[in-house]
Amino acid sequence: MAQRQSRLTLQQLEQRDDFVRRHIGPAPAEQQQMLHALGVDSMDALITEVVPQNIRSPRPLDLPAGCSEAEALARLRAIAGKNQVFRSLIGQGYYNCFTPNVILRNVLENPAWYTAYTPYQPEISQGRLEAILNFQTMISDLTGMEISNASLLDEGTAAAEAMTLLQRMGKSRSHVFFVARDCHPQTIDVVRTRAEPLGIEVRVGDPWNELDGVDAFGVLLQYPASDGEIHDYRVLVDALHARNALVAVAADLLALTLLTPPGEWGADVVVGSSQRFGVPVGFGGPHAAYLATRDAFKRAMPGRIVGVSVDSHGRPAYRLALQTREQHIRREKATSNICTAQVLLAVMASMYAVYHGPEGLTTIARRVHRLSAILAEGLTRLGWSVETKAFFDTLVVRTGARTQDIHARARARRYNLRELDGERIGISLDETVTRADLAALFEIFGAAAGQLDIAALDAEVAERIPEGLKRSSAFLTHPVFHRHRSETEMLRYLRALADRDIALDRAMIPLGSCTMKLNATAEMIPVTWPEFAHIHPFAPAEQSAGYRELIQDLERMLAVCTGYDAVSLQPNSGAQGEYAGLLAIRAYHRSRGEGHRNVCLIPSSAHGTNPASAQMAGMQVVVVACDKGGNVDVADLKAKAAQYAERLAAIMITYPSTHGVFEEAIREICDIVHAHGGQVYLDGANLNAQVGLCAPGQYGSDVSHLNLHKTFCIPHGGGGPGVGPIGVKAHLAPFLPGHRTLPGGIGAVGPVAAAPYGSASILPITWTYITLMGAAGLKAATEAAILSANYIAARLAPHYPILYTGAKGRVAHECIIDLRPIKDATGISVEDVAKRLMDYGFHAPTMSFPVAGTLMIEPTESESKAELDRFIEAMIAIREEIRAVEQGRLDRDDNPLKNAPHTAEVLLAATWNHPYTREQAVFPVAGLRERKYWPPVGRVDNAYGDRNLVCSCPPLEAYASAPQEQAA
Amino acid sequence: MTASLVLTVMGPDRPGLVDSLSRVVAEHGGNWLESRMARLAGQFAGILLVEAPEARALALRQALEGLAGEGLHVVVAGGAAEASLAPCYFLTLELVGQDHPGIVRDIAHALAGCGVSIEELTTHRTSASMSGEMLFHAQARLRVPGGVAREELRQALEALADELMVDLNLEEDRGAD
Repeated sequence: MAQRQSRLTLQQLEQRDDFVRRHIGPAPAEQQQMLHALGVDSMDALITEVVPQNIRSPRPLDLPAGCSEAEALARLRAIAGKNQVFRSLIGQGYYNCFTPNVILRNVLENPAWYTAYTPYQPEISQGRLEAILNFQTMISDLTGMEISNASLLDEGTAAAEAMTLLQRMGKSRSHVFFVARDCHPQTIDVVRTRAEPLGIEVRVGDPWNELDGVDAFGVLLQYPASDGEIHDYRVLVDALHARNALVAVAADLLALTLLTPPGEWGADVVVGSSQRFGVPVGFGGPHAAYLATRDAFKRAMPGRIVGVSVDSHGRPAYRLALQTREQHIRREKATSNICTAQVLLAVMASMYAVYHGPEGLTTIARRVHRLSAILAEGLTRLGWSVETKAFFDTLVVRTGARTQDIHARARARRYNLRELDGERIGISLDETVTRADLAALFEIFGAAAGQLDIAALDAEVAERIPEGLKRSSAFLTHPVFHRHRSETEMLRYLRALADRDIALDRAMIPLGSCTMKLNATAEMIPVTWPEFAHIHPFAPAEQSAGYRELIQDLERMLAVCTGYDAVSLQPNSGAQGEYAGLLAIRAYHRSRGEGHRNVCLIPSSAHGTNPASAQMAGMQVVVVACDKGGNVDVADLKAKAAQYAERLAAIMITYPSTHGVFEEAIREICDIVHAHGGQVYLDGANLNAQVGLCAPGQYGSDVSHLNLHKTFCIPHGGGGPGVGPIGVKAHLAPFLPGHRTLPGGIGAVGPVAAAPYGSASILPITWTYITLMGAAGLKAATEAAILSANYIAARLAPHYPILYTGAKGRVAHECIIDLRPIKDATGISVEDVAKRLMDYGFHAPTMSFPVAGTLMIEPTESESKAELDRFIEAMIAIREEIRAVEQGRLDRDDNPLKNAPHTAEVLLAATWNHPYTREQAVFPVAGLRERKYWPPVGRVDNAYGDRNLVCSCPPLEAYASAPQEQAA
Repeated sequence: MTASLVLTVMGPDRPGLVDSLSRVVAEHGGNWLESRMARLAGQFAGILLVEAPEARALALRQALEGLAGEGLHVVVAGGAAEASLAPCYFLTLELVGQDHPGIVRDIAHALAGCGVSIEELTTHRTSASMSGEMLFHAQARLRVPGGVAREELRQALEALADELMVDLNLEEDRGAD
């Protein structure tokens, strides 16, 4: 019989939805098996059981159908092509730089780095922890300070964090913060935004003349100043300290290779950006800012800090230090809501220093400075007045009536210079500037071709850094900044670090609430296109037409997905989005003459950033109880809303709840708050369970932030970048963050980030994801995420209690398993299980959030059924190990769980004294023999690290002298 | 005439311990006034203030000590009238930090140095969110001599906070008496 094949249509053959099936792990047939395991017939039946009927969206998302990777990238190419990449010599905190290609390909474009999570589990994060420690060492060395954090969002927010740090640590009772007029303008704007709700008065002025008689708790200076001038602040700082004022300095890292660091002339805090250390300007971000301070201030330091501790074998091991400070302890007393940092970018900057070493960095700085000196001399000879006397890389030229003409001449040759005012032009040079650029600049300023001989000028010009401010101290003396100068060594160093870690390129990362879904390669590719990477955030608007189209498109897509009317992409982290959303609510109440409304209701189950953000927005937190099911206690909410009706500003509620449940009462909750004059802030951290099924803007919420790094595929980067845009209903739209470069200007609440569109250069990731998936694909992803979570819950339920479920016994997109009964019965803790999972090759689920003693598992839609089953197998095998402890077949203290994770070194010790076998230690399930991850260190001692705090690279002897393997 | 008895009780935990204890107290005409009791690592322990008629106090004491046969060890002391104290005031101390040996010792030492006595102390440990590391929580009610300024005490404790890496908070005692 002749073989017959049904003839497919051309449309079928085109496979336009091929990406959807690649993004979603379980294939249709597997989804059927999973549904069967849950005892439901269809996906619709499951979703009906999970999502309350009264919030379901009546119609599909108003988005186009998905498309192929090739088509999406072609469309994005066309958009990118509308950007014009000029040579921007604008400076103002953003500089062109060369990303060393070995770093570009092996860090920025390498999923081993960009798909990793925040290193809460230190044993499987030693690689990136080392890289961050290098960053901290680099910052401490260059700034001359004792301790640095692991990065902040941008220089503007770092300066704002410095302000509140100074207020906390200072002895002054003043509420005045003085900011030098010659700080970067966007920094001043962000500081003003952050100061206002906290009752801090910001005074901007000339620190040399306008500080007399001002009682300020702190002062912010810029070094070199925004206009390039290098001031000697020593006398000023001494005088300020004598008056109980503390001093923060925003400093340029490259300049600090040549300048006396602020730490050597008395600065209390130093902040800045590490962007020019190999991170593309990318239209404003993401980049890693830094904050360094005195050892005495460490406990009050915002952000994350990596420290050195020891593992269970006494060897040095890295970990996040002082973690208990903000999120876990203070909550409503928090002073900073920093959660995400900019780890991927901090890693790049640190690797730039590893790659160049101190000599290389100094050479680059000297070259930039020499070119600047030549430029100043040449312009002077051409008859221009160069106003800057002492400078590193930035000049101000008095151009008077010729100002517009010079800008026009520059643009005609595709250069951007800084528009200071109608009389003066700023020029900032960087490591990419060449002799040819200088020649072009001279011609722009009227030189005849060849009139100035650059080689001749080079021989004549003197250094323009004041003698008294030349750096004499060494920096980057640690061997890590000297050993990797050949590209081979550099390549292998990067590989060796990455190999120590578990990222998504190795295994599922089932972190509840963190949504570690696929970051598809096609989504990542546009990030490093030059049309996106090399646009200065303050370049003339017409040059960023492509970006603006992308942003407009994306704002609309996100508005559709959330049911809101307007979106701001400026907040560059989820917590920043929370803050921006609350500022919008605050400004809205004020605009209606109800500025006294300042009470923010927050359920006890909230993420720690919620109360911290509320506090920063000047609100008073009132906690609402949760019932036994983990849902908001509606009776308590009613009572509190009534009690505070006069002052009620908002509720912050996470939906589906942090417990992973679609609460049935959400509409009622929104109504209660509205009835008492409050606004509803719906934390969009769990939006990935809603896209295509229901939309916060349609069931009663007024504003949400969205974590693009969760729901919309921006990778976690090992702890940042994050992007936290906010969506609002129309009545809040006038209160979205502003920016001096946006058409609406600073606006009602000011900017929350230094750049107008925050982390603009990674927005193409989300645009590409939504374009590839289309309306149907996005809904299918949400459904698959819910299915996978319920599948895991159902498979694990016979082995572990599932803590919270919805009205119909289902979870949403994540599930919580309760280990407290096990702890009581056997002494095996949630930490033991988490560490044991490493022996099985997995990153642990989220520990003890939102409930202490539990694990929260979120599989996302992107994990295949095979991977889900592998994880389930591991969890069941671990349960059997616990049972063996319970029944006395394994020792209570000396067992594979308490001793986890097991390193290769432990296994290969001459003696093996444990009452279980080596095989049981490292190959507890058969599949591991073919696919084994070896944790590089044993369990890390957290308490030791905090009590012996070391936050820069330890000397190599620390490793050499580590105690040898104790008898295992 | 009534006698005040202060008891400490301890024994392996099992249902019915408080039942036995309260029965003995009641049978001897005793009145159960104040107590703090808890189970820790399988042991049940408590401190308890009882009032009983003077005439029956000895019998009560013997009956309580007889509970040892049921596994509950009771130590009885006569309640002393509180010596009239120098002027003092009360503060609440809340402390959270990464658990490690010595937190209580160091804090208690600093308090003793300021002449502060601990009226009540409750502590527990929890697993910190995300990292899973152990947090140590303590809440204490402090009796502070009138001559010691709150700010002085705060500074003494703050100096320790840096060293111990704990976060602490000192507030007016809300349940002031």
